[in-house]
Amino acid sequence: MITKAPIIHVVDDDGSFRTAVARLLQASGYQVALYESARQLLEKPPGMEPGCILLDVRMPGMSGHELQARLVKIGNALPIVFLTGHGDIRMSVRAIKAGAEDFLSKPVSRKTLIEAIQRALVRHQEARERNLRLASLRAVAATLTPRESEVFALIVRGKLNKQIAHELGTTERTIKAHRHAVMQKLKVGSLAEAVSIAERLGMLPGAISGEA
Amino acid sequence: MYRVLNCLVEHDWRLLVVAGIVCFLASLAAVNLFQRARATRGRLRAGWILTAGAATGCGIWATHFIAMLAYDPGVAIAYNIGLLALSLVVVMVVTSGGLAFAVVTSASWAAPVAGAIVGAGLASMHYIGMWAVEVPGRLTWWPHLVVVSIAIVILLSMVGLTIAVRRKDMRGIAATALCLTLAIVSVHFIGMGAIEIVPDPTRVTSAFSLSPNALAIVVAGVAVSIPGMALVGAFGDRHLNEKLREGNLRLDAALNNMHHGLCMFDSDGRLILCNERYIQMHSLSHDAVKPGCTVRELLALRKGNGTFLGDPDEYSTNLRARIAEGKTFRWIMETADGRVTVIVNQPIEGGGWVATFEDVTERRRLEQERDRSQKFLHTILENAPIPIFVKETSGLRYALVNRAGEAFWGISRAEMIGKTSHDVFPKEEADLIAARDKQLLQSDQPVFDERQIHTPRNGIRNIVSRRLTVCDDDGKSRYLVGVIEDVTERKHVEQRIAHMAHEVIHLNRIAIAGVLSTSFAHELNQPLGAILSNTEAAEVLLTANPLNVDQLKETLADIRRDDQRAAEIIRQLGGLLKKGGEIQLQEFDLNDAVRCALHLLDHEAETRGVVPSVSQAQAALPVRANLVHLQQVILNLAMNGMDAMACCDPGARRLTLETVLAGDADVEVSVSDSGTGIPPDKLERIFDTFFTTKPQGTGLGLSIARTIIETYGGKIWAENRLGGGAVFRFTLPLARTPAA
Repeated sequence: MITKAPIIHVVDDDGSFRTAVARLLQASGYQVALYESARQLLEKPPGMEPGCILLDVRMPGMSGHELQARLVKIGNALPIVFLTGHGDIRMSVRAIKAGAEDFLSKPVSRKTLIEAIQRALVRHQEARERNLRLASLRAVAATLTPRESEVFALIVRGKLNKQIAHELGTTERTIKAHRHAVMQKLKVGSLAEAVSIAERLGMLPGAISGEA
Repeated sequence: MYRVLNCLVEHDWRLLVVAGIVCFLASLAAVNLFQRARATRGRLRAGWILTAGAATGCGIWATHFIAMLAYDPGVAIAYNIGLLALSLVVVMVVTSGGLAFAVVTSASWAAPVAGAIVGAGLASMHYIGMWAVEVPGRLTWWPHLVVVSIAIVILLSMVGLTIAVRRKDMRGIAATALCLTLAIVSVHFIGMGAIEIVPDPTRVTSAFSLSPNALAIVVAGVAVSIPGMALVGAFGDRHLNEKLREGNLRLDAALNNMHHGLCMFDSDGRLILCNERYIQMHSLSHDAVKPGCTVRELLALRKGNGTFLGDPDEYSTNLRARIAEGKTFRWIMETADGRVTVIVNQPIEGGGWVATFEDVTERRRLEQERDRSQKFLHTILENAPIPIFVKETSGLRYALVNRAGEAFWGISRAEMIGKTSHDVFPKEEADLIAARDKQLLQSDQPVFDERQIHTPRNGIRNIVSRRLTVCDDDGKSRYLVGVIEDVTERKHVEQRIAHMAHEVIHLNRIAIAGVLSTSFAHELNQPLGAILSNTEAAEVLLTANPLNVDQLKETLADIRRDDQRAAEIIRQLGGLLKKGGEIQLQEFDLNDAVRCALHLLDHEAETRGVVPSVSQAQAALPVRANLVHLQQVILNLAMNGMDAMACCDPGARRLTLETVLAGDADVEVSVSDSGTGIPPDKLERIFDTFFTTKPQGTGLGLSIARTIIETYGGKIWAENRLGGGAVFRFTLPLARTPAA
């Protein structure tokens, strides 16, 4: 899938450091986008291209932590690697809890930095693929007619055709036909497979959205 | 004698009686007038003397011619007018002279001499009068009777005057008048006895003669003048009495109003008089104190009421003995109630004495108080632990040196008093002293002098000497007073305190640096991080083919720049930690200092969830101070503010730094927080050393801030903000007018 070099979004108020890191990352084969403040990044949020955000914790205006929160809010899933001049445990725990990929201290060696970025990219890739699969499932689910959707929702809850017919106020035969159509459209051969899809689509209570 | 008796027979006895009475009255008047003359002074006295002389003269003259009228020698008698007048003038003049002599001269022989003159006057009148007699015949004289008559008149006059001088009472006056009468009568009749008229009808009386009838009229006139003169005397007497009474009243008033008690005793020790004060001062009653009571009785009365503590018998015996010796008897008496009286018994002529009583209690008390206060002052001066000296302004010789002065110079006062500084000190030192003395006397302003002095006991000492002049009542400076303070120890202590203050300020900076170490670490890691990244980027770039030399150069330049930046940060920290020996003053923009301080605080503020903000004056605010010190103050205030907000909601922790121009010459910096504020009762004390409201506070931060701000001529204070929280403000003088 990786055809283009991933883009690393560097957000740091220290211009000198920004330049140095950009130089290193470019030399290491990445694309680099530079932002001197959190606000600047929010003005033009990065798309879904592979990449990650290299974020300074301490900046004038909006801090790294705040930016992280805002990105989660707008559904931007780019992984974040924090970099700080002087980090403490409290600060790193807060960042990781909020979903950061990693928390590094300046000065950081190339090896550590690249490793952290790579880990983040891999994770991001995985997440991306997961999201793509989910998206195709949703597309398939979208082809179901409303009646078929109703039938599907009841099937995956383990209801029998007879019960479903009774609930929807129709005949068992009609339900059987709908059931067949649903299995066909979802390209599944067994009820277990259908339940798995329903689970992934978040149709079942207690299921964690997007997670296997 | 026969001739004299015979002569009497030739007189008309009725006229003789008249003559005698006139003579006695005239004598009385004369003596009376003479006594007046003695009692007066000046021109009045001369008047009295002349009147007395005139009275005597008129008396004898009238007596003589009344007797002549009574005389019938058997021939017609006429009188030469000129000689008649002469006789009256001569007797008046000579008698006045004699009386004047008696009045003026006080010697014991004066009275007899004066008497002799008066007698001579009387005799001369008689014989000039006889000379005036013109009869148709020749007068022959018996010389020895003439001599006898003159001798008797002089003798009787001498006796009369002597009595007059000795006795002034009525009996004396009467005796004198009698003597004079006798003298006049004697000279007349003995003188007449000495005459024998041999009729010689060829001799006729001259044209200017007076017949006996005419004479009778003249004599009557003269005789009448005598009571006139007596009237004058009587009038004078009354006048004199009035004056005397007035004088007595005045004397009484004076006696009774005088401050002293006064008594007068006669030679028997009996009271003659005493004044009110005496009675009052001894608490006696007017009934008990009467003229005539004895000194012994008075003492007994006083013993009874407690105003006399001695033994009345012993005291009066001693007193009388002393007075008898003619000596003054002094006595100082203290009574039971603590009053002190000085008694002086002064003997007077005639054996009596005058006693005066003076209550000296108050005077004594004042004297004792003066003595006490003098002694008190002396004790203070002597025991004052600082050297004090006094010089007279004329001559500049030491007049006083206290004990501390002796010890300080190591010279006894005996060696200093009365000497000049050049007599006492080495020339160099003495010259300095003399110069200061001169400066003081010329300016008349207190002179302060701080210098080092070599003392024999304590070596080199730092002293502060103060000199001032002390003026007399007339405003002229009389004394020069000098006080010397040994400030050697104080100087050492001051130096130590200054050193310690410096240490404390430095320790406070180290504490601040400790708190801000995270901030510094963060700051330093920025360039270090950049350097590492650049270096590693360069390593990668070196593997590329072809080499991008430009990029490598650029990278290296960046590395150098970041290295310098790291060095600058370390230098900043070093500045905060450095223990500056001498305080370096520099001119800088206070806005920069505030910005720098805030920068150092950024990380700390973020860690504590505090939102810092700055509001700065548009213009540059040049101040002259030490930058590190001012940053220290701002950091102290800011960190205090952040501490005060620890309990606030995280969203409400606002720290604001503000700089404004305050007037034309000052700049004001304020650091405000939104914390808990300062308890009003502690606002005054928060700048005190070791005063703290924080559990972990040292109580040094604000005290140091104040020390620093005041060092640079500013002020620092704290207020509570209306909306909550506190604001700390300080001002500093502008180094110059800021550019607009």
